Amino acid sequence: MISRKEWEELRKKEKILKKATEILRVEEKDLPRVIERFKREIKEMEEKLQSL
Amino acid sequence: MATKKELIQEFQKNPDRYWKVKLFDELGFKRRQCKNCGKFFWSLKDQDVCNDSTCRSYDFIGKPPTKKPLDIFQTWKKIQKFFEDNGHAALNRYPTVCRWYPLYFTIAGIVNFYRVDEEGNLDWEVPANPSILLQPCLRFNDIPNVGLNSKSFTCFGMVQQTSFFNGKEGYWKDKCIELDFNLLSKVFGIKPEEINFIEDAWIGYGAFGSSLEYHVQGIELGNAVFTEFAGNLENYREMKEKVIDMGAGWERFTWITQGTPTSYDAVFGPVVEKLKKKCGIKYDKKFFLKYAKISGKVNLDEYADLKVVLEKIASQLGISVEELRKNIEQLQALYSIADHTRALVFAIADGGLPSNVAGGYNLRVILRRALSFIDKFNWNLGIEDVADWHISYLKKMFPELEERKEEIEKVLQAEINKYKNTKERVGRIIQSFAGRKISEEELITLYDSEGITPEQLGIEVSSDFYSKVTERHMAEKKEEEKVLLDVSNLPKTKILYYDDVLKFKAKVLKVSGNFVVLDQTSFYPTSGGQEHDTGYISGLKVVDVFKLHSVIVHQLESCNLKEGQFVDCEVDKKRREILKRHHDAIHIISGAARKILGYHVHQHGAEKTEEKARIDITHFESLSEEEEEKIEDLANKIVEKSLPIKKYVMKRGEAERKYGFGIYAGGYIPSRVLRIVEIPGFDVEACGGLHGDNTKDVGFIKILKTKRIADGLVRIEIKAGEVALDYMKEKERILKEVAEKLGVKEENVPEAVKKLFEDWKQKRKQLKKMRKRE
Repeated sequence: MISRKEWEELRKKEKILKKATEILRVEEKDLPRVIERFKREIKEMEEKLQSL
Repeated sequence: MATKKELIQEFQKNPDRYWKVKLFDELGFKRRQCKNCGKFFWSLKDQDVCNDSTCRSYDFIGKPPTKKPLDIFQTWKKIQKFFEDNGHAALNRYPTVCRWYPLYFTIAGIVNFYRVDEEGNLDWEVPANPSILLQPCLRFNDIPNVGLNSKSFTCFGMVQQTSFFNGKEGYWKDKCIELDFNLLSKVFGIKPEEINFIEDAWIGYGAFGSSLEYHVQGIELGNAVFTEFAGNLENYREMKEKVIDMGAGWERFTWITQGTPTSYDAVFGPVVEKLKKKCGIKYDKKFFLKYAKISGKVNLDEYADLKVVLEKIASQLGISVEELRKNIEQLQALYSIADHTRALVFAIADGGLPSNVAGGYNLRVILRRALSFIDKFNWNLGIEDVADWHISYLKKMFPELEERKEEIEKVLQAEINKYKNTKERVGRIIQSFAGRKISEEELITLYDSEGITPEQLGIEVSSDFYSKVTERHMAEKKEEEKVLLDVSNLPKTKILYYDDVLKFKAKVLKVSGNFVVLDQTSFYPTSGGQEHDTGYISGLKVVDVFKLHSVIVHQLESCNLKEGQFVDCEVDKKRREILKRHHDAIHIISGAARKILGYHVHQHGAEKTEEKARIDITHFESLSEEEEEKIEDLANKIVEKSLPIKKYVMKRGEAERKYGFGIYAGGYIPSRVLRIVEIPGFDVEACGGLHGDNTKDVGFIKILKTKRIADGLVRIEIKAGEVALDYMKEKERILKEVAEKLGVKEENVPEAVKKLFEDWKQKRKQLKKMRKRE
């Protein structure tokens, strides 16, 4: 088992993750993929904006 | 099953055997037949009409036949002293919310002693013999009569005189009637010639017997039931231990000593006067007195149609039905509010909760009925105030009501708010029916789904409307059983799982397809919400384990076993440990929820699987994040405290006396012995599941989510120990991955995500704008 301190550290991280997923309204497990998608789309949009 | 009527007819073939007692001969009581109702009764006086309220008026109103007026406390004191002086043990009251027998509420004093044995039959749990107690009871089948016939209540005190007679201990009919007669005549000073004993019978819960109701001047004060046969009229046996079950009306005894127009005026202390003043009720006292005297004839169970009953009474009083209504409806409403609120006070104090589930529904019905009356007459009255008046009056006898006052107010307030919300929807609903008549079925559905009363819609319903609604929810809880194979000839399986046995040998007793029964097993069957064990029997995978009566059945993936063969068995240790931890964690969460949210929190259901566990608790609203955190924190404090998890096998009665009825957290248990699981000073429950030895072994508990799954029910999902740790580590991993992708520190992830999202939205907007320009 882990210590209370380590557990509290995990709870803290859990809360941070929850907050982040609430912004995008996605499931936690999907968050890395969604971030990737946004980054890719931003890049694509920037390229398009430059070409216009 | 014979009806009560058939039973009486059968007993009437030999009335002396079933109803005559020594006292009747000694004092000269004669058997007579009432020319009005046809019932047989015993009296000293030569009378051709019996003393039942349907046959005569309440003659004691204005001129009580007793020595002096008594309030409810003095009445009980006198009764208790009399029975104690006559060798009865005085017992404390039981809760009004029944957790020890498959009924939602304690509907009679005798229910206190009802239990279910291992075979599912009625069993008895008797702390003393003979005994006397005052039991507050709740019944919801008589709602329309409350306030109308001057004597009906949804919450009433039953004076319960009980004797179990086996030839050595206790007493039987002669002594019972002698005691009851002396109580009436010597203690209360009622003249013997005023007393009638009316022949009746009782049947229910697999037992039956004759009974004698005692009536004085138009009111039934008590009913002594002589339960002596088990079974039904077609197939019965005489019980070895016969039961005297005498239930008398605490309110009625008080009423007859005071001779007030209604029993409500006599028993609610200052509450009725306060209500009259607060609501500004004005009524014709002389007229009401005339009505009250004959109001006993109102019995909506028999007549069902209120209009017909009122017509009869109006014609007797020589006025129109409209005039009658006008004169009584406000008082009826006021008395109903007083009664319904007192019922709610007792029920909530005992852990009941108005809701849409189980018995909670009945509490909602009466609260909304009371609120509808307030709306109808536009009274400036708060139910919480009425509850407070009742508590102040009753606290000297029931101090627990005062102790739980704050919680009672909180629960009432939450329920009143829900009622107000439904009121706002009323207009919309009326429109949706576009002027057509709403059928009774639709009204019941509206009540069930939206909680909207017919009164709120301005619709007058038949008097049995609320009975129909509540009956839907009053049915005894029955468990469904799926019989997959015949185990009737097999012996009870010897259980090894409580000793933590993981490897064992056993003999195959029965094989049917892939189903196998062994002489002994350590495979835990799915029960009490805990999933079954898995493992191997002779190398064959165990995929399911369940219980059929007292036989445990194993379902294998495939089976080539033969009956009589000996097999080596092994339980999956990892799964077993996780299930145990989840079960421990659910007990801890249950205790924590009760401590954080209140006494009304009870387990409605639970499930413990390998992946996670859940508990459904009774609570009136969704949990806030703060409440969730408090519950989780307290649960983890209990884990860290390293408290022992003690398991005992105890006799049922001993466990009840030691721990109270809170042990039936998950409902009644059909057994004479109980397995008690105790976390000292924190939680104690009767539980047949598997548990560890110390809270520290559970590991940290994580609440995954909470959700209001029905009105009055909240589901809490958890993970515990390694499973919880894996879950949290996965979150940690995701956060790390996201932080890396965003190139920020973990604590800055939300901010970075927000920035990214804004950036994405802005770019999209720009692009759209540019495209438009093109």
